Amino acid sequence: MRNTVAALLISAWLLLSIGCDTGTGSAGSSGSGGSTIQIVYIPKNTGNPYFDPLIEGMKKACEENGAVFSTVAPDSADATSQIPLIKDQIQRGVSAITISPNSPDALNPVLEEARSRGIKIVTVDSDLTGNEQYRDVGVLTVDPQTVGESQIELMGSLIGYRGKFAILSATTDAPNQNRWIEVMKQTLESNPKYRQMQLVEIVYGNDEPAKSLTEAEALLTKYPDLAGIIAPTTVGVAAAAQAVETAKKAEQVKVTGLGTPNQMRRFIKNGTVKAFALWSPYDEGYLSGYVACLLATGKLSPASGVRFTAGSLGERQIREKNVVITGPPVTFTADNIDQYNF
Amino acid sequence: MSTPTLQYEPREAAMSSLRHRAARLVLSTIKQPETMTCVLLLVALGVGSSMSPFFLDARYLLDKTSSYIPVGFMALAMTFVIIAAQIDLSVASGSLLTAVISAWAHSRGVPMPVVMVLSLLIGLGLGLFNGVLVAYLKLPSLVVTLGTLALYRGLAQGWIGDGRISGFPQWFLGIDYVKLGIVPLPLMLLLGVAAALGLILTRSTFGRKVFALGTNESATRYSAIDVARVKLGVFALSGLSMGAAALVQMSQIRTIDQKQFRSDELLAITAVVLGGTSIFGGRGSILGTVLALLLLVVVRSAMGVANVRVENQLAIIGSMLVASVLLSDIFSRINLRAPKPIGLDPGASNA
Repeated sequence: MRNTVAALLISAWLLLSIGCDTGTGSAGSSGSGGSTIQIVYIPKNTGNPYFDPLIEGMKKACEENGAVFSTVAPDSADATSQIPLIKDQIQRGVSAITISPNSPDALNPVLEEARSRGIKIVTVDSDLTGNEQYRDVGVLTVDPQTVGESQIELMGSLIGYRGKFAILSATTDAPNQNRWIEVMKQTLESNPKYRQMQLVEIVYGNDEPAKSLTEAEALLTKYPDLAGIIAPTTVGVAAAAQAVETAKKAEQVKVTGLGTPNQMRRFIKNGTVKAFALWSPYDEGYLSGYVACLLATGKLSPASGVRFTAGSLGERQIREKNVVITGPPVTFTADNIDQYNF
Repeated sequence: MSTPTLQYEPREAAMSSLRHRAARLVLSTIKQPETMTCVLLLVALGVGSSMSPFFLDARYLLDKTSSYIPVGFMALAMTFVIIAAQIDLSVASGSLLTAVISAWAHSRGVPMPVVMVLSLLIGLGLGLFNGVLVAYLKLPSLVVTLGTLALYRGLAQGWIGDGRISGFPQWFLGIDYVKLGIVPLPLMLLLGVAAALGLILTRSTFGRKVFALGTNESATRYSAIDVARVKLGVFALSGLSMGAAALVQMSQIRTIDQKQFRSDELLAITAVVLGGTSIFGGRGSILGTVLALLLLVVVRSAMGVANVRVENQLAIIGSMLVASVLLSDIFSRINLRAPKPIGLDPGASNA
């Protein structure tokens, strides 16, 4: 009996230490020297490929600043799942936490606790809208104005600044898409350059491939003289390209929008799509990592209007509510798409 | 049933009899449902402190319990359900539906104290719905609650959509930041409820009926016990736990959306089984469930401060569950009939 208990103790011990080894191996060094800067990134959830280039960028920025970088992710993207992870990192005494929050308000108390212990908080990609005082800096992709304007310019350049076009969006209440579409409408009205371009309809594919495809096909049927489709969502732009390719209308109907290079590579290569845009998640990660390192070493005190240099990205300015913008969207064409892998 | 020890005692020396009793005591301790959990908890504390210098800190560990309190309430009630040889897969979905309706009611102007009572009543109602289907329509609880798992979550999702509801009054928020010394209030509430439920399970007639039902339903029915009422009782209790879980969640998380409480029913069942309660019913304890909850907190915190990836954390908790069930099964098969000195290989007694 004693032997059994001893065996049990030893096996449990082994089991746990194996887990420990694999963990530290993959999560990077957990060295805890008094002076080393430790940055940890908490994405929305595991197994989300969008965050991979972001993590790469952050890792690079931390390397350049001599900081130790690690990342931990919850298994599901709900509001509750990030709280215990933040508590663990507070206990580890990290210098800064970069986080893509799953909720704009559920994290308030735990972030307040972290900041009271001197830990800097940088939100990445999504912000604590309405609760900005609970983080030090928010690093966002692009501002809505630039996205909206650049999408119209991209469409215009593809259709020679004249003709009918439609928008294939995500859901009717998607906040980002609605802001961008609003800017697109304003741009069309206010800039005489786009006088001869006419927005005929906005349809919603709910970010579902099947529904987006159906909506895009319906547009082609409904408007035989349609010159273009803007799909400011990654699911939508692929679906629109698919619809145009199937209908063999790539010459008449130009598709553009926001998509990832890996998803759109095929359509660029076979000529269905000439150009589309997206911000660079790698740059976004790099900028957040850089900001976190600057904050942790006290080299940056965030305030509206402050300028700083973020390594190879160059100069950035802190805007209202301590927001830093990654940069203008990158336009992908047949010439540059092979340089990107995300 | 038989008492074979009597055959040996006259022939054994007094000393041997004493040793036999000691062996019996050790064995019966090991056979207690919660012993394995207790051992694992101690091991986890030891391993945790060897893995990271940041782990062994009472304030931190007590703080970490707060995230497990909603699931803790579900697990306490689930202990009754499983001892009665039933299962309730709908607890997490029911908690979500309760939280959604309560938060919605508050956003429509119902005062918070009324909402708090309402939460418990909604939970009770959802539990009774399961209970009536199981007890009076005599449907298997696995199938009924598999159905209501989807039904309650579906209703909650339909009700709230992609949105979220917050805006609870300030006094109601942040129960996890109210502390007595370094012990957070939610943990004290859970322990208080656990103590009360532990007494009900072991000292009340209802508790005995729950054990009887889980051991042998037909025998219980022939003993003139109203089996349906006992079943209704355990599901009502499970329903109340949904109300409690919803309230703690609203106070701690401050906002309710449809992604919350995802697969928490599995975590609750894990805690109950890890606590030594038999999934076949008739055996188990509240103490075991409480220890198992603490074990989950300790293990996840130890791995959290050591930066173990969440995927590996899940795998380790899974292996722990399998190992614990396997070992307690082995222990429960050990034959106690023949006397034998301590330390002897248990297999020898069968020879």
